[in-house]
Amino acid sequence: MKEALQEEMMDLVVVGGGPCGMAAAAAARGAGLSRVLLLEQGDTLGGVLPQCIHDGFGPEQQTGPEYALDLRDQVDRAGVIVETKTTALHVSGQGPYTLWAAGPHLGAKQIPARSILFATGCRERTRGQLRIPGARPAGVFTAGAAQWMMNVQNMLPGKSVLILGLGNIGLIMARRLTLEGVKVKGIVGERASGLMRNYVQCVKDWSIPVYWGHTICSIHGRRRLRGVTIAPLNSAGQMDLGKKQYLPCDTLLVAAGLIPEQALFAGREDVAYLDGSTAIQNGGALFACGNAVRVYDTVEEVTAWGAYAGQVAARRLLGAADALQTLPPVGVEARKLQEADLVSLQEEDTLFCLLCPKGCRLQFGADGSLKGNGCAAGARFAEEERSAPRRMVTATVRLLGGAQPLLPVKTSVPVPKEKALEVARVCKRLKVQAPITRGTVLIPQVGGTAADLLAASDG
Amino acid sequence: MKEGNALLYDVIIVGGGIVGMMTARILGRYQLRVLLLEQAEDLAEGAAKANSGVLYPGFHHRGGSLKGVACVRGNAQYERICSELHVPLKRTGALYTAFHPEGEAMLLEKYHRGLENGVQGMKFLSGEEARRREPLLSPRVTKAIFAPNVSVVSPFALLFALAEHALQNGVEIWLGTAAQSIASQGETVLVETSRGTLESRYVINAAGENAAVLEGGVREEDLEIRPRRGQFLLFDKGVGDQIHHVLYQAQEQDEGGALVAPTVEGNLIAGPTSEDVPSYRHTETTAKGLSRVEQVAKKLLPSLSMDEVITQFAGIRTNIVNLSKEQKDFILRESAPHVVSALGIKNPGMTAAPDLADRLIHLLERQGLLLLSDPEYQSERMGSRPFLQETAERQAALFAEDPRNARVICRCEGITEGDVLRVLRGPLAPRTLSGLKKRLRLGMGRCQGGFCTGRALALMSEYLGVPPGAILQSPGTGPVLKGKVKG
Repeated sequence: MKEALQEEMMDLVVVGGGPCGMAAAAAARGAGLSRVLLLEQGDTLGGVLPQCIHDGFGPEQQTGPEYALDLRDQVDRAGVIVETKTTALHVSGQGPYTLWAAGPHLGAKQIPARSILFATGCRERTRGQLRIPGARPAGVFTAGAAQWMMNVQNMLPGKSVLILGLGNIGLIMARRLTLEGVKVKGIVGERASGLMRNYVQCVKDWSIPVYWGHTICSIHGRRRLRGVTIAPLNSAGQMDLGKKQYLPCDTLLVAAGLIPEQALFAGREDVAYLDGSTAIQNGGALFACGNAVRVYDTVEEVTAWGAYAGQVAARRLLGAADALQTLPPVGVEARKLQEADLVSLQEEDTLFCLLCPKGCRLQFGADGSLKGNGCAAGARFAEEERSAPRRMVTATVRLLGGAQPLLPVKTSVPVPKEKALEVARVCKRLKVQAPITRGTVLIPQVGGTAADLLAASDG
Repeated sequence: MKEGNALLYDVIIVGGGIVGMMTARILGRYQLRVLLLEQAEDLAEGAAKANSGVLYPGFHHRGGSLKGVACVRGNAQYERICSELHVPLKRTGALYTAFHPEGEAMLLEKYHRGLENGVQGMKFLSGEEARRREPLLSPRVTKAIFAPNVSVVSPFALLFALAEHALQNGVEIWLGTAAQSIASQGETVLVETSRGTLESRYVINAAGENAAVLEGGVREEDLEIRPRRGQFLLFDKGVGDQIHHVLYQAQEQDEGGALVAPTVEGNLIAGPTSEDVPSYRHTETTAKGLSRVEQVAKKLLPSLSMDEVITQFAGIRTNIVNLSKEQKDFILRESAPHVVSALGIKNPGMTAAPDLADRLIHLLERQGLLLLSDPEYQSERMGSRPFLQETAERQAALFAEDPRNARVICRCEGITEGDVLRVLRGPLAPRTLSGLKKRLRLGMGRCQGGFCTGRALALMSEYLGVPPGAILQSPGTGPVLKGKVKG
């Protein structure tokens, strides 16, 4: 592989080995490009997927690590050249281009490329960007950074946590921390951007307090975070300091949105942003796609746009006249959390379907009849959710002798909701020895349920 | 020749701030046994931690004052110092701008102060001319002074390079060692420290916040020094490249001395505020302070976007409070036989530091300190640059030595695992996350550590042989983590 990289021109370099980049690289090979190089900074392909150990990815509602493994298989089968642990630093030239990269396999390297696709994903908005005043003690993290530490590195960010932000990462982390026995003191959010189903499963299920319409005024603590002061926002968007309150906590997770990571190409005007929003005019061969362009709600969309971008890049390079007429993917319907829905959640007869991101609002009539479901599975879900709700449990277990200290796991089928915490406790105690392949049954009928505990990744 | 009586130093410097360290570095040229004591567990934990990095022109301060004159003379030394230390310095020049007739009157006053203090090359500009030099400058600016002698440096890079250079030339540096009191013995001075009593022929008291109290051990305490806080906003890389000068403004109201400046790394910094606070531990930012900085920044640069802010911070400077504004100045003096002190050093303390250090040493010479050149003195700092800033040949060699040299860990600032390991192996090796940040800029970029914190903790843990949960965020705070998720 290293030899193949020597001086020879790449047809396409895809920067970023997350779902967008993996789908793009595989699709570009499938569309006829011969030398496609995929660069990933992390130890393995996957981008953020390996840290997203929860389920809900793709049509089969896989966990993040499973979804990543499947895409990785596609990349392998397509014959893409892959370099992990490699960081793209700089792009120069007007086509062909030179990509400057560095990594422990390549050293510092200039890679010649006929075209480049930026699938660089996002970074998180930080406390500094939000300009939250106050002290600077230990214990303030962005939520995604905390997720990676917790789910991949076996590092515990805190024991008593407040989350800022009602986006998906904030919601997901609320459940994740709860399952690990961490006290989640609440979620503070100016407005919601997360999905309804995440709200139901991650916050409502666990009765976590939500400070809707609030924001953080100040951070307190010297050695360690001691607490934060929050206040509601009035209609003009100003803090109403008369109603401020103090919430003690030792950790703050900032989950206040994602920013497309465009540092590599921000200065250039010859990059085609493939997000369907504007017609692509320029004749160059630099492309940007996925979350690097616009933040999507679901991985399905990101993957579809990645595959689309890979095809566009390939057709452009192969001289297809209609390269840019390739049909862009259709969006995935997803129900975002809204205040009105929160109100109806209080009603006995209203449920939200958790089977897919669509999150249908299900309503039972007085006669027991059901309205609102978009499919037959939704009807079955509604019945079950009313009588005996069940949930998938995803967690990690300690992995001994592996490349990583933790192995992601999941239940083979959903377990009764009230058993979820017991299953999580079993996971907390369990230690398994590497090597382990994905799908291995680690504990049959875990926690006295009908579900088996499965390895959700190789380890 | 730096050996001798193990118990007797020639010079003990109390305080590893910019003045103390600058003095230590100069004393490294001579055949002297020199020890610098710093109370914090790491360097740059005090005022140097929150400094704009601007080398001031010298027209702000009263004509003929020590502040003004030392500022101009210190400033003039920096190009040589930075070249010897291999610390980047960017000469930007400054515009001191007026928005109204009262401001124009202040311009004239600054101009005269500048002349008295020895500032060379100042020029008056019309608003138009100022905007030709600085296109984003507010259309409201009516007049400006241009001063060519203004530059920017990284305060961290400077302080650590000074320390490394001093070490290279035989100066000893003890971190985590507080000087509790000093007592003059006539020919020697006893320094009571948290690590026992030390004896030295001379003592330089550059203890910043503690300087007045420490001096009280050898003379009547006549100065009251209180903490004053300054808050800053830092903008993303690239924003700083949009401006070319350090921008000052004639205050219209109580706006403090806030400025806007490009940093040497291409960020833009705005601040500081100027607020009296009860203690040196009050380094928190406030909504009011930050909005004040924002106001001044936008007044100067109306098109500045607050979306580009990546962080904010505050620092404390020392302020003499029992002298009138007209009397206030830096104070350098012989406190007792063989003891000299630097008191009330705040901005432009970094700019003035080379000159202040010369003056402190001169005061000791007058008391009999003999300066004999050390033939082994090395005038250039040895030291390495981050891997990605090295030449291609050097990169190839470093990569061949250890592939980790090429593994990027902090993408925003371009820092590799090898860079981290080199710092951990080096002199004054840090034991905290902020120690890495101050030395390498790791985690200082736009993601503010979002992508590198976990990796840096893992690397430090592996190298230091301690669990990640034991690593402190900074010397003044607790551990970053609360242990492991699973045992």
